[in-house]
Amino acid sequence: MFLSTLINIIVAIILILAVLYLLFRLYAWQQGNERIVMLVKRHTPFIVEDISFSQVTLTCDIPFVNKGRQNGTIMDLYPRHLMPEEQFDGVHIESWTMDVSRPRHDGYWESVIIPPRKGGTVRLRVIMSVKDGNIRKELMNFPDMPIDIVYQVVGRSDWHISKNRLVLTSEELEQAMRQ
Amino acid sequence: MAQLELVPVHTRILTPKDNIVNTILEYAGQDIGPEDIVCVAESVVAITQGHFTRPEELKPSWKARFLCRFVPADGSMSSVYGMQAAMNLEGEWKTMFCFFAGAIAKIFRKNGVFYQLARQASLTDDVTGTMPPFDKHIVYGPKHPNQVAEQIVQRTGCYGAVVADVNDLKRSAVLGHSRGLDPKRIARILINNPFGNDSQMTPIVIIKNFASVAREQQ
Repeated sequence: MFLSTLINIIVAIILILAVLYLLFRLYAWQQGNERIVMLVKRHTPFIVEDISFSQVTLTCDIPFVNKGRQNGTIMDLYPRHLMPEEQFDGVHIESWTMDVSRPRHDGYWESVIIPPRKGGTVRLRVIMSVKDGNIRKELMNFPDMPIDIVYQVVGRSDWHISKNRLVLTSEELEQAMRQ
Repeated sequence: MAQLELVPVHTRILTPKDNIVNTILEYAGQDIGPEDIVCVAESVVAITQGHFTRPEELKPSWKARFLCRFVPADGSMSSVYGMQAAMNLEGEWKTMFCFFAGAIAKIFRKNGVFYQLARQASLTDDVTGTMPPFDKHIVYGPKHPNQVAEQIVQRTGCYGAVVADVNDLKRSAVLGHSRGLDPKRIARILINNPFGNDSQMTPIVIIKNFASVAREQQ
């Protein structure tokens, strides 16, 4: 009799805890999380911001949006251009990003909170230079170059790093250099 | 007749390599007199004490994941890491207890109980709460603010010193003060946030002529 009562109590406690856990999961699911996405396909065409005999600076703007239902904080954001020397070693490449709404010129990404359904714009700068020679000539055979936009986000859930890729195509580069 | 004057002091970015009292002497030593009160921003004191962490250094517990879901989105503890950081200071079970006590108090229309019980937690600034390069850090409240204030008085020879938490939303609190000061009075003087915003880099404010004005008012 005592054992059966004890088992009933334990089962009841486990059931209550299970129900509470399920209710919390349901609440958390309904509350949602942040979901910050770089809209790389909607980036503006690359344009030449500055050019000299040996160096060119290209820029483009990339919109982003928080598609989630909670605030998301972009703690860090940076570009990663992918051009191995086996593929092309004619130029030295640097790239950096900036939040258009809070301009700065040091490549430092200042953490920013993005509310749900809001967004902003990242400005990507790609600087290509040659030691000796003419940058225009050197870039004539430049291949397509992927650039990953890498960003670290934190919110109600664990921090995570995401990547979205855009490609600076040879045609787009040619077009920008012609303007 | 003496008048109160609030003098913000510009500094470079301070880091854990700095000592807050030495910094005050370096940037404001000549401007501080025996009638003045030296006020210093609490987050800067915490930074010079190395009292901060990064989300990457924290491992959120189920308690932090649970509780952060119930904090409004604009609260420092709405992120799982802000909550975990606060729990690390206060203790996880104590924070849980304070939270439930706060929730019950809310039913009886009494707000702010959680923050009264979990004092350190209420002083924690989540990421973005502080200027670069500490915008990627969770900055706790300062350690031993009363002692810091006493050290400032001893080294600068000023009338008094406070460690204050002030913002642009007309929220002003004195977290630590030297002996003989009325913290509420100082908080009222600082209500318009003479520290400015982070980018102004003025974490020290001198209240000039405080002692003379106090004497005249008596």
